[in-house]
Amino acid sequence: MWKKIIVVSIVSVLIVCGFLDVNSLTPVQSAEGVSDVSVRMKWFFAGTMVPWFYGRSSGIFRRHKINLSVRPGGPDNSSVKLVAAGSDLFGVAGSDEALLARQKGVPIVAIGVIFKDSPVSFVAHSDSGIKTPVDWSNKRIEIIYGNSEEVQYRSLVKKYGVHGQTEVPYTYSLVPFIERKVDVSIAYSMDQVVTLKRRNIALTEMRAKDFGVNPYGDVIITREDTLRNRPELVRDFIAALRDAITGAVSNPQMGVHTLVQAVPTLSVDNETAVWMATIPFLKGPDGRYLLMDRERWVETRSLLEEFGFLNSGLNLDDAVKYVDPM
Amino acid sequence: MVRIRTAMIAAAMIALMVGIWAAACYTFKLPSYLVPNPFEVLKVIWGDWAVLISHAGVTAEAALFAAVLASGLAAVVGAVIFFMPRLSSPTIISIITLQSFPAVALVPLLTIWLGNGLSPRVALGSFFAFFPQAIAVTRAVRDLDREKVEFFESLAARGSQIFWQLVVPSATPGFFAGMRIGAPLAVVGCLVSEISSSDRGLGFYMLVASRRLETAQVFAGVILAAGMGLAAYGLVVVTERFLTPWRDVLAIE
Repeated sequence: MWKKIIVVSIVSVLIVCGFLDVNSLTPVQSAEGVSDVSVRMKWFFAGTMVPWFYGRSSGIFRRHKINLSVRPGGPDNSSVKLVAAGSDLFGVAGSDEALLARQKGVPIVAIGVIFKDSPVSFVAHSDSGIKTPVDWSNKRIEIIYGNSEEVQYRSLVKKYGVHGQTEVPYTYSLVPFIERKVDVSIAYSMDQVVTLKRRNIALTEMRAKDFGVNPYGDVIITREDTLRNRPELVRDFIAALRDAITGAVSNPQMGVHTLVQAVPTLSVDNETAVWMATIPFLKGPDGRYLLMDRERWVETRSLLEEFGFLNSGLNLDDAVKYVDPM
Repeated sequence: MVRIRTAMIAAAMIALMVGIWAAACYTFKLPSYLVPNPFEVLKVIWGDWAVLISHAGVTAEAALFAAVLASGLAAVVGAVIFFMPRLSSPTIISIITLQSFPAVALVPLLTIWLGNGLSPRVALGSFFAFFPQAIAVTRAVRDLDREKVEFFESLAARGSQIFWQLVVPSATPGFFAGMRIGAPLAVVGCLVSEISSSDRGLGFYMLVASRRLETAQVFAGVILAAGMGLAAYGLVVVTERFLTPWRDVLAIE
């Protein structure tokens, strides 16, 4: 009898603990007025995320009264869904994801741009003779389906009259490209390109933006009710992030060190290369970090509409909110 | 009569689950991009029927080949165990060890070795399906009644005669028991391969739908995939009844 009671009690406690979320769904204010805030990344931890860890470690976020938790994204951790569901207060998402989510009725808004230019590239071995999208005809090309990467690819195909190509799905492994099973592979300038170069693979990088296809890259998102109910928190968050980016750009070695300290599985050498490759994407012609330009959003929306990724008629004022921290 | 009642109970349980699902969506006002209500999913299945069937057909083709390949390999393992009984324990240990291998890590390697298309999907599907079938066949051969084997030997039967006339009929129930688990797993393996490295199939359909926040489409794909797994199980049951008419096999045990 007692054994049954003990077993049932233990199982009940485990079930209850399994449902408890130890990280609050809404920002918790401590006695000093510091808010516990979580931000969900778009992908697994990597050198592109140095500012977050630098800002947290050096006290920048705390000076803005934010106790920041940085959480990894990935294929099974959609920042859009997690932010919309309230699991995280802020998130990093693709500009295409943010616009599409808004069109689907997801109550999130974009409040800042991290990557002012598209980080999407297409790589070929330098001895393949493939230098521009014009050379993609009749070639075997690895692409990612279902999001902005595919749209940018299709835009380039249309613009440069590519024909006869064989499209194969990208398997999130560089081996098919290295083994020359494909002629051209999709890549990110600060990810796969860095990895390939560090392996001393001579390659030609064809950046989408260099060929006139240049939507916004990653953006910061939050729920629209967070912006409405806690505008000061959002402003503080953007201000802190801007300071963190400035600091991490000025002190790249220190920045990478804070990342690797938090995520020991990462390598200093690799993430330094990734962070240095990321920096050029952060500052636009306006010279400021995170600031959004409406014309660039219009350009991004138009590109996504042209290839059916977005239906026409999305009101940018609903999807994009300008937050200017003082 | 029993089967009709069983089917009606199953249908009632499914209807109950769908009802709870709809009630939860309505009561908690769950957003459709997180949890679509069942009527939205039905609408997608109805409206996208042709597209869904096309993708399901691609998955089904690969799953069928995968299940057959896995069954063939499992049968070979059983034959090896019979003719070389000392390999029995090492074989089982090896199979269990290989089963722990993260199959998802195989996806890019299979693409390298086999290219894109049917082959890597069949390979991964058979990887998923092979293990339960191999274990079941191995046990069936090991548990063979030794007295019957000795009786055959006393009649000067050759090894091949004992194998085809005693071992195969005796191990067939175990073989099909493994197939009942393995066949649905072949579907799962093909879906995993499609999610990671294909431009067709239900796995690909669900991946793209997920990226586009079309969660109702994802659910539609899941329902079709579940149906495919159930159909695979049913096909094994029917095949078993046809090939082993001496056994009283229940549709659902």
